[in-house]
Amino acid sequence: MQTFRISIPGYNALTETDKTKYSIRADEDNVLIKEHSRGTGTFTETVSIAHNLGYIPFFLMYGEISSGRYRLNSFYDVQGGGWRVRANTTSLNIDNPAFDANSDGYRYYIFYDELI
Amino acid sequence: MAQKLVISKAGFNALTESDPNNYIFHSDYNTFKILSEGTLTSQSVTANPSTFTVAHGISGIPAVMAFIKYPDGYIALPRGMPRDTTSSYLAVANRRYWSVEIDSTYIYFVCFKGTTADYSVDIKYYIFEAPGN
Repeated sequence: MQTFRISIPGYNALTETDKTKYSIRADEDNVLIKEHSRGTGTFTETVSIAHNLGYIPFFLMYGEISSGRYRLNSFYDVQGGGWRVRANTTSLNIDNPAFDANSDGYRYYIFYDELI
Repeated sequence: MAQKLVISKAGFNALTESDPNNYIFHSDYNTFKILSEGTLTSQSVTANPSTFTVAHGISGIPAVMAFIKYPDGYIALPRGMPRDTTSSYLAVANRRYWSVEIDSTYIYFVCFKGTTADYSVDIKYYIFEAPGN
């Protein structure tokens, strides 16, 4: 079966098995937004992740609500007292006014694509 | 020199543009790959909450995005402002809202009805590659 793949610099498109090391793969559908950075961390009451893009980028952030279980987050915490995530032209900022040290993991993606 | 494939946005020169935001596609950067997607139709929200689960089949904890369609036809992101059939603001406890949660096995669509009547929703979800992997 033929396919079409382009690996990102430094990776072999013929042998690489990690899908995150490709800019495009015909094996899957692709959302053509360009990744700037991704990461995980241990949360404190506030976290600031610098992107320094000079504009507000598209992003996704997930907060750990119990061990191994993550919730997709937004600015408005409907369920009260917890995670909120915002972006400005320089950083992604996560706040947890009801900080609980027992549920403090987070995961995020920031993209080059301008949100607004 | 490494070869690359780039497609710039209209009005930008693909040979010289330095801002990644001005490209539709640039082979130097990872794009977000949809590993799988699916739809749940006519799911009944009858409790606070009603939780609908999908086994994602992905190794590890993937990133997920989902959209819900309420009976009035509006489509909402998770954890947005509560959706209600009235125009006046009420306490969150009275409203319809939802969230999306993921662990190493399942995606959970957690829907609330507040004090409103039972209702039916459709949910569209996308499973992406996992952050941190």
